[in-house]
Amino acid sequence: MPGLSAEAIGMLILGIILFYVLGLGLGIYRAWRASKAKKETKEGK
Amino acid sequence: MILEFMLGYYFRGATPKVFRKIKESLEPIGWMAIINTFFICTYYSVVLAWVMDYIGLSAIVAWKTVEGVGPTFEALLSNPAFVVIGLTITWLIAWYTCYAGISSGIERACAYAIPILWILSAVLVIRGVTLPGSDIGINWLLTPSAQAFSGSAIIDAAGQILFTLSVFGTTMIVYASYLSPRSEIPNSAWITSFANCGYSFFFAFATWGIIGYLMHVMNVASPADLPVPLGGAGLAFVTIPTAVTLLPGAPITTAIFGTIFFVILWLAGYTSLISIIEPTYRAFGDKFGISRKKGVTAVAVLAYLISLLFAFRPDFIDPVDFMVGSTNAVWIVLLEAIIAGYFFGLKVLRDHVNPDAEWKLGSWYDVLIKIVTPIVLLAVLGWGLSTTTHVSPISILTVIIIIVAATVISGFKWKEKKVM
Repeated sequence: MPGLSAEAIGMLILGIILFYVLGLGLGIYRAWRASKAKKETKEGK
Repeated sequence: MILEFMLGYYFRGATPKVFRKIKESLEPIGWMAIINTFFICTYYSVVLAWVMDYIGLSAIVAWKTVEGVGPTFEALLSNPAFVVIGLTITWLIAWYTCYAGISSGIERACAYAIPILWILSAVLVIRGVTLPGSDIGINWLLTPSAQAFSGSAIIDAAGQILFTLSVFGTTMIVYASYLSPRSEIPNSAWITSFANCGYSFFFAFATWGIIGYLMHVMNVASPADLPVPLGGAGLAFVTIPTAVTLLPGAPITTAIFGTIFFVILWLAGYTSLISIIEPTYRAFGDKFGISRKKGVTAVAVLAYLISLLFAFRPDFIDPVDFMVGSTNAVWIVLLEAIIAGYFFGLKVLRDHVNPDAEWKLGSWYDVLIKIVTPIVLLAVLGWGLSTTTHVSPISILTVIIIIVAATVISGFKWKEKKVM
């Protein structure tokens, strides 16, 4: 979409950071913690 | 969201039980929240019935031409018998979903509905942003406008975000009450909120890409100049059908993308509908010890009968929605923050969830709930109610019914047993 204004591109980037980078980041962090805990439990056994 | 998760997870019940355990005299406020939610499902199901009817109407492009779009919607509204068919099917599906239980019903329905929703939405977003003129619409979507701020807009926005997150004192409390012990709470609330808002942000590109295309085809400079509505039911039932009728490759593309749009809308609405039936049943289950099967059936039958009124009088929907879906939702969350913050110790809740939390809640959280949230919500309510023109006798009657019903139900004795 080449017709987007600079202001719109700024808001688009802000939206992507807020909803996807941060949101997905929290989910990935959860998955990483879960797999780490699983691994530690396995090693503990 | 975090507060509702914590209340449900800690007290293991619906709002009346939660508030009663905090202070017995607060039980009626819990019932007000529940009855308010119950009212939402009565008219919301009618909108879903329209959507279900439109899945069929889109598939055959019943409006045939752009000129036929408006009359098709008017014909639907003036033909309650056709709406009742969609309403009955919608209620049967929603009833059975809750009737089947948490895992076999609600969880299974969401496990299928949400991925389908995302896939179909991706199809529509790709079509939306690749249409000629889509950038015009998307520029409008992404460019902030100070002129758009008004009392009604603010209260609508507050109500909308609370509604879309299902934060109105009932659904999230009940859903969290079903979590297993040692569940993670704060990050789950964050992920839920980001997932919801991320979807809304994503799908906005489909809607505004299509509106941009409409502006391009009709050669107008502003969405306000379009001869179609840009909000409420008109956006879904008039503007989008108008736009898909003008798509390249019509009428085949009209049928395909029109049907996809209404299937998406129905799936989104259906998952919301079951989430507002569940807390109503659970509240009565908590208090009267009613089994899931009997409780869900009683709630669904009563709601269905009341929803018939809205099927025959769709003009009642807007004033009731402004009060129940927007204003009362803000009131209830405000009272919830005050009750949890001042009548119960937030530290107790934080200490309960923090051992398993991925992000620990510190004392800053108490400041947010006890001070920031009430101030913001009071400002929103004060500004919104002092400037709105949406309040009508029907809105006031709804509030009176909610208060009277909550007081009467609170007067009955508790016959609690474990409800799942």
